[in-house]
Amino acid sequence: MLILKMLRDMKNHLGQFISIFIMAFLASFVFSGINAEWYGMQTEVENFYQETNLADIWLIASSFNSEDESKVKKLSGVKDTSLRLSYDCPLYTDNDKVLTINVIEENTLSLPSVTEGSPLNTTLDGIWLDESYAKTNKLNIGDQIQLDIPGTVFTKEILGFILHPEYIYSSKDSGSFMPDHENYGFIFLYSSSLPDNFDIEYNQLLLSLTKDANEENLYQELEGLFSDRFMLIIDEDSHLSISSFNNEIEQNKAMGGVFPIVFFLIAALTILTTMTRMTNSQRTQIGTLKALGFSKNRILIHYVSYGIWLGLIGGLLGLLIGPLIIPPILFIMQKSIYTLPNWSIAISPSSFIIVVLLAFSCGLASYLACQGQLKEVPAALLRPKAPKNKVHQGLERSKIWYKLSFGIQWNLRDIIRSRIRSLMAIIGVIGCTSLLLFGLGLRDTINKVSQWMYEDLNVYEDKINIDPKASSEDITLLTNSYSGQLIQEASIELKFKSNKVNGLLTVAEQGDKIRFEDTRGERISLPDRGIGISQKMAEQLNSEIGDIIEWRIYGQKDWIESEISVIYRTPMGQGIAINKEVYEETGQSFMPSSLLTSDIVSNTSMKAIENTLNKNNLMNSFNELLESIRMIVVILIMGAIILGSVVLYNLGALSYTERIRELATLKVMGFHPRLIRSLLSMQNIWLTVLGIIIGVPIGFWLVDFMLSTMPASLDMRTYISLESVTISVLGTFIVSIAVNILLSRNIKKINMVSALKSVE
Amino acid sequence: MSFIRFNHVTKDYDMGTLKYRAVDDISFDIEKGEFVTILGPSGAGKSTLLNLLGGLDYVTDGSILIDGEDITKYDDNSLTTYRKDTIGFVFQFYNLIPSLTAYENVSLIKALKKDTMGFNEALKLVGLLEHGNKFPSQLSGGEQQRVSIARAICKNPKLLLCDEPTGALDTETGVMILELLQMLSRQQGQTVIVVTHNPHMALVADRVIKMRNGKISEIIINQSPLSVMEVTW
Repeated sequence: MLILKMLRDMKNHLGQFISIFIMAFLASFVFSGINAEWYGMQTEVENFYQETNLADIWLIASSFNSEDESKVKKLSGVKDTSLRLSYDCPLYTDNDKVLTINVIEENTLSLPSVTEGSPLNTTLDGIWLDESYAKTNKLNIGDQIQLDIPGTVFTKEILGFILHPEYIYSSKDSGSFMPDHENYGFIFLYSSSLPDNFDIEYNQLLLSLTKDANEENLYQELEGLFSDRFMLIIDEDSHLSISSFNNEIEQNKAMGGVFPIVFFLIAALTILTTMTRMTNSQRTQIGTLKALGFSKNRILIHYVSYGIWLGLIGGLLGLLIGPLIIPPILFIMQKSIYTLPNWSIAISPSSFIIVVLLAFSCGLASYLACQGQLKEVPAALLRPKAPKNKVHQGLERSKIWYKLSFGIQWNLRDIIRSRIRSLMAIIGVIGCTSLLLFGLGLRDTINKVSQWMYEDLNVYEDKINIDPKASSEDITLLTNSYSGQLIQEASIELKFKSNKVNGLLTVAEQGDKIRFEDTRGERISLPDRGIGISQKMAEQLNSEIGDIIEWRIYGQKDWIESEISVIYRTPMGQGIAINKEVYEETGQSFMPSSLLTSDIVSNTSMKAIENTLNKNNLMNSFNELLESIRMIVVILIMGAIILGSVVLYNLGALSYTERIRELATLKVMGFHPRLIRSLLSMQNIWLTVLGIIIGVPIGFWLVDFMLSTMPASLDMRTYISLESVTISVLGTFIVSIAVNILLSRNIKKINMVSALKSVE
Repeated sequence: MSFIRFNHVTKDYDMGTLKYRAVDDISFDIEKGEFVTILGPSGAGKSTLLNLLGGLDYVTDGSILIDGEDITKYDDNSLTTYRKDTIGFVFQFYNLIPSLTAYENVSLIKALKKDTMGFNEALKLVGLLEHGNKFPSQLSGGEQQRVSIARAICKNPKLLLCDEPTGALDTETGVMILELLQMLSRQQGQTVIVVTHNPHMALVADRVIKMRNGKISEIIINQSPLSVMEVTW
C-alpha cells in the first residue's frame, strides 16, 4: 500500500520527480557512457597487445646480431626476444610517401595481425601492408609496390593487409598530431623475400619480460651488455604509439569523472528540497501512519525509498543507454587518430558502482529531508506545524533597504529563506554556462593551436626535408633554388640534476620562417648566448633561466653543457632551440635537416630533397580533428541545455507552488499579471546572472583541466574566444528566459478566490 | 444614485453536469461611508457576493455599478485596474507575505500605485508602528490582521472589503479588529463591507444585508448602530 502512496505522491509532484530522475539518469548516462568508451578501448587494446605478443622493451642501435640476441635472452627477467630491421623508406613512385619497412625473421614478438589476404608465412615472397595506408591509397592485394632502398629499387607484391600493436597511433614523428595515412604507413616482410645481395643488419632488439622481472636491474645489465655502442632503450612509456594511446585513455577517464558531478549534485539537491517540502506537507499523514502503528523505521524506509528508487531506476537506465550512445560518437574521433582491430564498448565495473552511489545519495538526501519530521510524537505531527521562528533580520537595518523596490525586497528575502533552492538554481546555471563554454572553448583552443602552430610559429609554406646523405654542394644547390631558412632537427637526451628526458633539438640559422614566442606570447629571437628551452621541457627538467643543462644528440657520446637563456612556448615538439652560431660554438657542426621555404617547390627531384611537407596538409589533419570534436561539442551543448532548463524549470515551478498563495494575494490586490511575471522572473534572472558569473571561470577551468590531461609533449593554452563566451552567456540567458516564459503561463491560471480560502 | 448598486445579479457555478446558483437575482444599494455587514450562514453566497464586488469573478447575469460605472462590463485588465484603484481587501487568513516584515508588507503597495497613504501612517493607524520591523511569524494573529488592514487602507481604496476578518481570531482580538474597522468608517469616512456569520455584527453596522440560499432575506438599516465596545460578544 505504501508503494501505491509513493507512486501517487510522485504523480502529484511529477515535475520535480521527473527532474530528479533526469538528473540521475544524466549523471549515470554520461559517466557510464564515457566509461564504456575508454574501458572498451582499454580492453580491446590489451587483447590486441596480447594477441600479437607485443614486446615490453625495444632496444634500438645501429646493429644487433644473433649473438647479441642470445646474450640478452640469458638475462634474468627476459622471457623472449626478437630481432627486427626497421627503417623509413620513401616510395619509389612518390617520394612524399614514406613507409616504415620492418624486416623480420621467424619472430614471436610484436607480430602484425593480418586482416585480409594471406596469413603470415616465411616462405611467401611479398609484403604485408598497413591496412589504413592501403585503404587510403586504394591499394589492393596483389598490387605491386615499389620501394626505394638505398642502392636498389625492389618491387614486391602486396600479400595482405595488417594492423600492428606498435602502430595504433601511426605517426611518422611526434611533430604531427593526426596520423597521415595517405603519406605514411608501414610494411612487414620476411628477410627471406629480400634480394640476395641485401645485407641485413638488424637495428632493433625486442624483449618481452617475465612477470617477476626486475626492470631496474635489467636496464643496468642491458646497458652494460651494450656499452660498446650507442643504444636507446624504449619502454611502454616512451613508445610513441603505446604512450599516446594510454594517455588518451587516461584523458577520457578524467573527463568521465568530472562531468557527471554536476548532474549528481543537482539530483541529490533536488531530491533534498522536494522531499523536505513533501514530508512537510505530509506531516499529518506521517502522524496518521504513526498513530496507526507504523514504526518510525517503516515510515523512514518508505520516504527513503523514493530517493532510492529514483536514483536506481534513473541510474540503471543511464547505464543501459549511455554506453549505447556516447561511445559510438566518441569513437568517430578516436578512429580518426587511432587504428585498432575492434572498437567495442565495455561496461566498466565502476559504472555499476556509480548507480549504487546514485541510489545511495538520493536515499541519503531523502533521509536527511524527512528524519526531522519523524522525531516528533504523533500527536504533535497531527497538529499543523508551528511557523518557523527563525527569522533573518539585518537587511532592514541598512538605510538603502527601504529605498529598494518591493520586488527586490521580496525576492531577496525569498532567496535568503530558501537557500538550498537558490543554491541549486545557481549550480544548475553554473553547469549550463560552464558546459557550453567548455564545448565551445575546446573547439576554440584546438583551432587556436592550429593557428599558433602553423600561422604564428611556422610561417613557411613547405618544409623540404633534406636527404641525410646529401653533400654540402647539394644543399647549396637547394638553397640557391629556394630561398628560406635552414634548420637542423634531431632527437636529443636532456639532463638536469637527476632529471633525464628525451626531447627535440632545433638549430636554426638566421631567418624568420620558424619563430619563437616567450611565455607571454611575445615574439622573441633565439639568444646569442645560451639556448632556449620550451616551457614544458623546462618544467619536466625542473629547470629555470640561468640553469646549466646537459644534452646530447642520439648516437653521440659526449654531453654538451648549455645555459638556459630564454624559455619559449611551442605546442608540439618540446625540447631546446639554438641559434646556429651558438650551436657551432659548442663544437658541433650544423647539419641542416630541413629547408623552410615559402617558395613554390616545383622541382622535387633535386638530389638534396628527401621529401617535401606542405603546411596545408598538416593543417588539414588538424581540421579533421576539429571536425570530429564538433560532435562532442554538440553533446555538451545539449547536456548544458537540458541541465539548465530542467533545473530552472523545476525550481521555478517549486518557487511558484511555494508562493502561489502570495501570488494570488497580489493578484487580488490589483497587481497586474505582467507585474507579477516580472517579479517572479526577477529572481530567476538574478540567480542566472550569478550562476553565469561563476560559470564562466569554471568553463575556463574545465578546458584547463582537460588540457592538463594531455601528454607532456603537447603544450596547449586555453583559448576561448569572446564569441564563445558571448554565446555561452547568451545561451544560458535564453534558456533561463525560455523557462520563465514557460512558467509565467501559470500566472494567468492563479485562482484568486483560493487566496481567500483557509490555509491547508 | 447610490455608491454601490447591485442590479439583479446572478452567479452560477458550473460543476460538470451540475449547475449551482450561488447568488440568485440580488439587488441592493450601499451608500458612501457606510459600515456594512453581509450576514448569513456558510454557503449562503456571501463570499461569492464579495468576490463579485471585489472584481475577482464575473457575474452570470445582472450588473454591478460602482460610482455609476458598470464593472460587469470590464475585461480582465480593467478589473485588475479596478481592484488596484478602488478595492482594499482584508482576508480571513491575513495573507501576509511571510518573508517580508510588517512594514515591507504594507510598503509593497508602492509597487502598485503612487498616491498612497504613508506606510508608517497606515501602521500607526492600526497601532503597530513599533512592530514594523517584525516578521509575520513574530506577530500574533490579531497583529497580523491589523497589518493586513494597514496594507489594504494605505492605498486609499474607495471600498474596503473584509472576508470574515475575525474568523481566525479569538473573540477578544476579533473585537479589536472590528473596532478598528468601525473606527475607519466613522473617522475616515471609509466605506467598509464585512462578510461574517456572526449575528452580533448586525448591531454595529449601518446596513445589514442578511443572506440565505443565495438570496437576500432581509436588509436592515440601523439608524443608531452601537459602537463595537457596547456589544457583548
